Amino acid sequence: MLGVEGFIAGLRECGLEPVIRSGVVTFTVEPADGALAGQPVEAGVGTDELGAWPAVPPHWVHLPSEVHFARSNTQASELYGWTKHSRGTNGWGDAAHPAQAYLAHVRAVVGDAA
Amino acid sequence: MTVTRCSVAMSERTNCALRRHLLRPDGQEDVCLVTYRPSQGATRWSALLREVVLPLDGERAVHANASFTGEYVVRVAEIATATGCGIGIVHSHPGGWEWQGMSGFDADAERSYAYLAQELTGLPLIGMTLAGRDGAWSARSWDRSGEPKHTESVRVVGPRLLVSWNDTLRPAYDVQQTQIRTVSGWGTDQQQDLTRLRVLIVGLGSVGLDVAIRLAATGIESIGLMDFDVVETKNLDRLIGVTPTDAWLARPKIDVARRLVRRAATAPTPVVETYELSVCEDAGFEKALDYDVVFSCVDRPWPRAVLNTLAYSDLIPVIDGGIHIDAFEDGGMRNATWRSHVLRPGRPCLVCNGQLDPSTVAVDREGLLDDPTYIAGADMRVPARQNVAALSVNVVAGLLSQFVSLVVAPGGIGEPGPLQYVLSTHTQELLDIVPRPNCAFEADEATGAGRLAITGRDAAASAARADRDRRGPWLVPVARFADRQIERARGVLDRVARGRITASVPRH
Repeated sequence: MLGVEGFIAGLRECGLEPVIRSGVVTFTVEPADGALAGQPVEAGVGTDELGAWPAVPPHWVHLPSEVHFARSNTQASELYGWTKHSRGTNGWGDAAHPAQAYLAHVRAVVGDAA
Repeated sequence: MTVTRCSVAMSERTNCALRRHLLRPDGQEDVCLVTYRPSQGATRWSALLREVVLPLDGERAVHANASFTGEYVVRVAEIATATGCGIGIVHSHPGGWEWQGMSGFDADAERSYAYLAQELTGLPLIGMTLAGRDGAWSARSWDRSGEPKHTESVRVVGPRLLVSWNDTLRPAYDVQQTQIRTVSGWGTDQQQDLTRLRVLIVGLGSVGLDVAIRLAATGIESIGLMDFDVVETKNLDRLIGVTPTDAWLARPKIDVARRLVRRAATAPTPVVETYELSVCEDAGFEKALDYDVVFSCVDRPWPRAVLNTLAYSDLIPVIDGGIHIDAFEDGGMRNATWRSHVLRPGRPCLVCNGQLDPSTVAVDREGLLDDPTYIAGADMRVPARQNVAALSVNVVAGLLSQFVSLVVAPGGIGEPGPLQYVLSTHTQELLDIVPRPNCAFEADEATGAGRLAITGRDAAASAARADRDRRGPWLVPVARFADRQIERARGVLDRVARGRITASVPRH
């Protein structure tokens, strides 16, 4: 499956329960490292970035504004009280399970939070 | 725009599967069914063959001719419907060659299932015939009316691009006196097949402009030119044939390219279509679907990703390449490399061969690669835009060599795969890159209308078009008017000259 539908199906296969709010697919991750290690953190991806999923990964990671980074390119999220952070994915395109690979990327991003 | 043309396309793998079944050792006709996905361009509708569904025991009979059961059709229709596909009936004429007509028996057989196929799948029935002696295909679509609409071509996309032409709908033109040297390279038959291809060049910078001109000179009859940009002063060192007047008037690159392509064209009635569009826009992508071959002469991630999609989802070979110049920070050149490759099923896509980072596509789409604030904040290097006229011509040569290999296949060998030339050592390498097993672009093969949704609003293209007419003081519109009159006069002179010097070459 492609697009938003494929992304959501992939997250469900990983055991998550994604919810679309204000055009953002939200889900919960637990980073393994960093200040938020072991804590459930809500994250999100804009549906407007998922048209070409899984060939083209989304760029912006949406997080609640209380999640801070030492340095980040940011824009306001569609979700009130959230901020979206520019985070490219390295080496995209070879994963057998793209959603799983993307979740690993999000966990790593959140793992860098201050 | 009205869709007036119809075609069929398949991968070499599908072609081989069909040939294995249809060309029997005992020389009799055979039949099977296929599924297909539609691909809708601006003026051309195409059926992209996806799955060959061979008959089970009892579903078809071979008795000099071949027949099949209604149960077979229903079974395949269920498979097609579940995957958003239409169905096709394919049979062979073992003793035939070139584009095949239909016997009354063949027509009745296909017509009888047209209504059922459309009712079950929502799509027209495709009928196809394989000529056994030369492997040529012919095809037609059938809707509920019961009247066939013959396709203009059937293309097989593999190491060679093999196109079966409907000579009635797409007649070849006689070789011209101006093409004698070209034809001596590969013969009249090859020339007449090659020149009927519709070729689109996306991006009219130093590489794209030169590719377009040389294709026109070779005799390609139908050339499409796509770019939304205008000529600027900084382009004058690489756009050969472009003048300071073009830069001063901020002339659209498509207008300049059309002028130069028309002047170079050797086809008796060249058709040069221009599109002031981005291929990333829905309208631009739709135009691209009307073509048989596309040259990717763009260097931004988003349009390259779009063309990367097109090559697999719509079975239109995309010829891509580029140059990388490695300059020392304090001056001087360390090295330069240029690459060329054909994107098609069976070859690695741009991501697999390391030429496209998919994570930059979304960034480019938002215009962030042109935002210095974003680039500084992301700690990125500004994308290198070095290019040199003396070297970009090598990229042109690489792309055109790939094209000739794909279409003419010197020595019977098709396109070679990704090639790289390293300037410092003067070595050319055939890169041994294989498609990756989980590549989402390559998995999107023959999906047509169900392809990855990768196009959208291109803010840069919209801004460029809106800005174009606002450029320059009052003298510019006056100068443009004068320039148009001069071009009209030159066009008249060129037509007179062509009538005097060109004539068909008698075919021996």
